Amino acid sequence: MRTAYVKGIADAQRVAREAVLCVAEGVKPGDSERQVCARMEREFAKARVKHWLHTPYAWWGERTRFDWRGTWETHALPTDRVLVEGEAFVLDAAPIVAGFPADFAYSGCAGGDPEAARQHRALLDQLTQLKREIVAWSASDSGSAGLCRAVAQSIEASGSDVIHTRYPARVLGHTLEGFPNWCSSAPRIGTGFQLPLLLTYATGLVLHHLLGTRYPFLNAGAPGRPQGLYAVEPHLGKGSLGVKFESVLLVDDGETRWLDPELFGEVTG
Amino acid sequence: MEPRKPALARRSSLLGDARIILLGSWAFLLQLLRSFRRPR
Repeated sequence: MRTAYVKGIADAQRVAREAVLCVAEGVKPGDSERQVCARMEREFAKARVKHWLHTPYAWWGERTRFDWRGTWETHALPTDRVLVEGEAFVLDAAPIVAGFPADFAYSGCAGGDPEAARQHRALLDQLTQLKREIVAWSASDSGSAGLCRAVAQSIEASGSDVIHTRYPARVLGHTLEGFPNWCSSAPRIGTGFQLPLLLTYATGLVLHHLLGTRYPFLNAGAPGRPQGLYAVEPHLGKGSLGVKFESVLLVDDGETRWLDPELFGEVTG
Repeated sequence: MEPRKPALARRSSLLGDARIILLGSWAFLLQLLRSFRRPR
């Protein structure tokens, strides 16, 4: 039963990764965030995706740092901003595939500026190191809040800025447990966060306080230890560059591992 | 004797989580308005 659930999430994550990477390969200066999101949606339509945790996002240049003031949900929506040579970009999509949720993000850099490419590469190396360390921190006794602290301290120690605390609920990650559920087939409404995400996590928070169920988020206030499947999305910034990855982490008794161990690598399940 | 594991909180902040739900719902409505107002 448990193995089937992990396989369902891994298959969904595979679909998300392939669609996002397929579009990422073709991202070029002159593309707008909206155009690239439309391309991702076409790729997901080929995979018969109809339901979402959130529809695809694309952020260009300084927008990869979330420096905007005000509501994240509205500012994060794709805009007509056009990608310029040497700018960083981030693609992020969370489809529901055959009832199982996925959440994958990719960070790239538009060519044409060797210095920007070098700086971007250095940040990706930092993410790779972070991805390795998160496995050990997740299995430690310091709990979910301790994991979030360790990630933030590691990013700050390298002179970078912690960006993931700017997400709604200041999350480093969120659970992918409990699907399919009563709302995971809710129809898509508009763009951005969708009802399955909002209702699942709101229900999770209520049940946590009423019945003591597991907390759905990994953030600085998360109680207890991580347990189960999480979409983890460390996001850091330096200068005008922002980079992140989003992968599925499995934390079970005696087993802590990424479903895709390499940075943006294949989902091995 | 095994060293004792540090005690961890069992519940998160009720107020903090109520805020997440309220602000999240409000932001969701704003996002819907914005995403329908702009051509996709």
